[in-house]
Amino acid sequence: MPASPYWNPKTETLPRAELRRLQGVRLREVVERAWHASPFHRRLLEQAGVRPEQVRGMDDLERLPFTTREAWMECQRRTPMFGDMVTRPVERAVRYHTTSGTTGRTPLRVLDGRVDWKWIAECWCYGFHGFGIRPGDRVFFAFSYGTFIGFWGAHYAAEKMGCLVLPGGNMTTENRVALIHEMGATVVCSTPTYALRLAQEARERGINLPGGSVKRLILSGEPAGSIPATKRLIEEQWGAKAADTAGMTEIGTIMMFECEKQPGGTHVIEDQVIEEVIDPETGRPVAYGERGERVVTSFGRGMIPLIRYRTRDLVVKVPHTRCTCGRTFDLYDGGILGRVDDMLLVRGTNVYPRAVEAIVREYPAVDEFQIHLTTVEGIRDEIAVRCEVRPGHEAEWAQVRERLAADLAAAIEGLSIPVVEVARGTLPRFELKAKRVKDERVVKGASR
Amino acid sequence: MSPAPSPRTDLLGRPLSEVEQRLVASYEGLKALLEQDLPPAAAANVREALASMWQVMNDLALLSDRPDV
Repeated sequence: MPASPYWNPKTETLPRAELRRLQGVRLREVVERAWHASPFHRRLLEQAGVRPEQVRGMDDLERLPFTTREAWMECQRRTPMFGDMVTRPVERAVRYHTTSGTTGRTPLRVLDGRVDWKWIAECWCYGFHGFGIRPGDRVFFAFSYGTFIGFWGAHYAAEKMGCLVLPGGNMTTENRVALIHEMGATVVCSTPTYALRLAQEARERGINLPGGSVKRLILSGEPAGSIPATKRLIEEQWGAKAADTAGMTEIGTIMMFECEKQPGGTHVIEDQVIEEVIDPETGRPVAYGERGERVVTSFGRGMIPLIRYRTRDLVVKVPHTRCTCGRTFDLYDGGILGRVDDMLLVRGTNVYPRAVEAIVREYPAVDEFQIHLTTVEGIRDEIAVRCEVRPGHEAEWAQVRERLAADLAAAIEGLSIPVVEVARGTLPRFELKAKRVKDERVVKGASR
Repeated sequence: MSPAPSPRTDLLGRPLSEVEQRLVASYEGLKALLEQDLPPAAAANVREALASMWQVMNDLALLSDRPDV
């Protein structure tokens, strides 16, 4: 049998009408299960006046109420520790995980049963196989493990596929680079930011990554994996292809991945989830090509059914025909574009951190950066981009600084954004989700 | 107890291929095994195997079922 480019050819190439029918069957099942076993969901469905028998297929999707993070947190507060969303007692769980806590909020606590945990790995297999990872690959995980779900599912996916797993938990960056080099890793899984940090460490240790064994990087955890300039920088520094993926603790796994054709977007794993895109203000669906908020319904997690969950992620969905790989799964153009609540209002101008990063990463002279916001004279917003200069680029810095400031102003409605050099090692480096906005304003967005 | 009779079509109404029928039979066989009084070593590994086989049922859209393992 010829090698398949698809992990699951039967559903990955299903005609759209049949895929929708399959989603409808699974939607009915998940609503039925939630109604009978999850008091949280039953309450929401009853409040919306929907009974499971009224859900016959995808045409009934919009009858279902949204689920929000706030409601989930509230149910955990009311019914510690896991809330009454969970369908089975904790004794039936085999895994406990939490959200990363990088936002400073109380993390969500999740439980998974045996079937759920294998499903979580299964979804990662779609992404790994789709990007060309095969048995025999040596997969390094630049990830601290622990309770944050991160690459846990990817670890088990690699194992399932017959790859050699190189777990990089509890290691310094230096030791990680050494292990990647010594073991001849062919694949590295990391956040985009940390992929750059590893490359920096390799350079400082005299390790030639572009001439080395790594052929593929699997990026996750930040939108930067789909920012062309950042991705290009990572690919140049590693001499390897980089693929974006995106997942979330709330479903335990990835719901989208970039295939080998790299069409500038990520395929949604539509046989395992339903992904809607809505106007965040009205809650109404938006058309292909329009920016909106992702809403996910997950089929595979039995202990925590997730129905129409408002993710606050901004995306633009485009038809599967945008890609030539043959999958019928639609795509998110440019992956995750940011968060609904990411936008910064500065002197009346909307500033999206992702847009700033897309410009800054066009300049190889910038090693690390931070968007810094302050209040001046008690009333006026000021914004600056602080940069660490990459060693060897000091001579060109004065010119780069001017050009970069001009590019930022041109892209962001003429807003003046000074570029400020800071000493090397001043700015934080990140292993998990990077936080490159330092907002020290007293009053936000108040003055023009 | 013998395994439940296997379905003849998948969730899309397509007839099951011979291989798909064998996969469904294997899944049902594992479920039936768990109803036996098994020693811990056998019970735990059959549960693991059943959870893995469920992924096949799910990926290939062969069955609507969710084992409580």
